[in-house]
Amino acid sequence: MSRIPAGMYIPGKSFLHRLDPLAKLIGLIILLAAVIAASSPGGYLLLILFIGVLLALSGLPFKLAIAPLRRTYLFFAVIFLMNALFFADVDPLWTWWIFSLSRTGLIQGANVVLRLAIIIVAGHILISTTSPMEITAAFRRLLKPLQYINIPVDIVALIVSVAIHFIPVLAEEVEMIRKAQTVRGARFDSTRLRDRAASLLPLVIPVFVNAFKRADELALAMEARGYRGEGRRVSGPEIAFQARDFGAVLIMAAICAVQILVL
Amino acid sequence: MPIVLEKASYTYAPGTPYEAAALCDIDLQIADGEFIGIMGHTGSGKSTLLQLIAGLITPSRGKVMIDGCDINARNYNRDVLRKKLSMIFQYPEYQLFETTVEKELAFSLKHSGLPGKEVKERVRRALEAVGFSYTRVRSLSPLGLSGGEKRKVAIACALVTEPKILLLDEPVAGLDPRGRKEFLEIITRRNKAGTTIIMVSHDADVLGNYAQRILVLNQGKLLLDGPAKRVFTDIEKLEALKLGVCRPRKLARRLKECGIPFPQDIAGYDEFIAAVVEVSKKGGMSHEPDTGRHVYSR
Ligand SMILES: Nc1ncnc2c1ncn2[C@@H]1O[C@H](COP(=O)(O)OP(=O)(O)OP(=O)(O)O)[C@@H](O)[C@H]1O
Ligand SMILES: [Mg+2]
Repeated sequence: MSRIPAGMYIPGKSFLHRLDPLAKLIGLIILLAAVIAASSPGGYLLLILFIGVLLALSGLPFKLAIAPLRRTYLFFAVIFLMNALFFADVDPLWTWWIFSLSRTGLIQGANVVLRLAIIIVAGHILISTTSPMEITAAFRRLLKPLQYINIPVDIVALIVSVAIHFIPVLAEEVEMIRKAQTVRGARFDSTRLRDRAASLLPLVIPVFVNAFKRADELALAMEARGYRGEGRRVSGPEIAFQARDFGAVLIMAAICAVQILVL
Repeated sequence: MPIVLEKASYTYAPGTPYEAAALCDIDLQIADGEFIGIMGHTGSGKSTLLQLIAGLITPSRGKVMIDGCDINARNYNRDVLRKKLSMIFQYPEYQLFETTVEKELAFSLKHSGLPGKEVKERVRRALEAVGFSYTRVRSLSPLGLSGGEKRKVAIACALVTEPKILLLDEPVAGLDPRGRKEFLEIITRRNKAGTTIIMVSHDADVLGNYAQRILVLNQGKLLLDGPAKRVFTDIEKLEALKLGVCRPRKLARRLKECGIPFPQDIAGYDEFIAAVVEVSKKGGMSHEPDTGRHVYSR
């Protein structure tokens, strides 16, 4: 039960840790495009293999990297079943009451689940190998060109940075409230769906209430310190793109192109 | 023994860069009806120890037994544990979620199998125990109450199951002196009625005055364990570890330094006063009238 909160940076010296955060961010965006375009079994296989390579390059323990999937398997199961059982198709394999199991539905369900899973693991690898500071700096660099069309890049970067900083805080709070409600008799670990559904509200409501309170406090604190939303606020180490980083982005793009165009 | 820990250890996030050995080989036995205080520095493992006893985490090594059953055994029914043990976390008001105070308390009794009438009766008793009028607050929204009232509702949530064991993690943090006193009185009353209390606090004064037995944790190890008086007797050792010492004990030392034959096994104010009475009867306080100023100069 001793979990590391989701979205926690895990310091290290692996290839992925040393890669320019901007390269990782662009890589993730390219990967997203590839995932959205994926449709054939071969395409998925390539993407999964690719994620495996990323994992090996990140030096993260396998268990840790897939932790977000293990926590959300129920969510995946529901999505899969919804797609499989409710897809209106002309010749269902099996029907009963309002349910109709169809081939198209099954494929659709598998598609959605695989895509989500790949995106979640890829995002998790990025967050685990990149410190929040680096991610913020990378966002700023990525969005920089948008400054010229009057998009408030600094504010967007600030929002992203605050959001990222709050992930571990929220995760810790969820854990604390989960424990408090467990003592009061909520059954989070029960195998019965009914128990788990009943323990959802006692978890979600306090977490939301506290998150809003925190946001209020943060806004007050920022105003009290004179924040007015202009100028450079968030900074991080300036890193220049190196050959390695270009290489990484290019390889990523190539693999994804193969995936999109060939498979 | 009702609560027994056998060589219990706990490590957070093993096998990752965040690995932290929080508790190491804790051997501990707690009898029914004890009032135990736990002190130690930040990160010494106090919260981890409470969570082990509450069955919220499973020891990496060793055993936690309650009433003779290993609570982490596969065939152990956790509902039994939930019925006899409650825990109040730091800032317990964060756990409130229901639409009315009555429902909030009843949530803790959801799996108790008690009939509706008994549930109602228990809710009323718990609310009255924390100083609320049942009819006034039962249908208010807990999230709309003031901070102090929320805290009281949360405490009532822990009391409503009428637990045999009550664990408290820094329960008085953030309370004003009056709220603090009220809270400690509620807990003491429970203890007198037979509930085992295990309370973590940074405040040595609170522990010295209320706990009968004190555990001192240091870097995940059980450093001292004994009656409050005895633990505080070794004041030099506590101070060397930069741990707090309750005020009555410090006063007793000052008195001794002033040449008054004052007993040193003092933890609470009541004991202190009793000792003052005792010593003055023997005439020990009167031989040097102006040491009073001296005593308070610290
Ligand atoms: N969720 C966690 N993940 C990793 N390490 C943790 C976690 N919780 C606690 N620790 C570590 O375990 C050790 C003991 O923590 P614990 O919370 O039990 O201390 P504590 O005595 O309650 O401290 P405090 O007085 O600050 O509440 C600390 O070194 C802490 O850093
Ligand atoms: Mg603690």
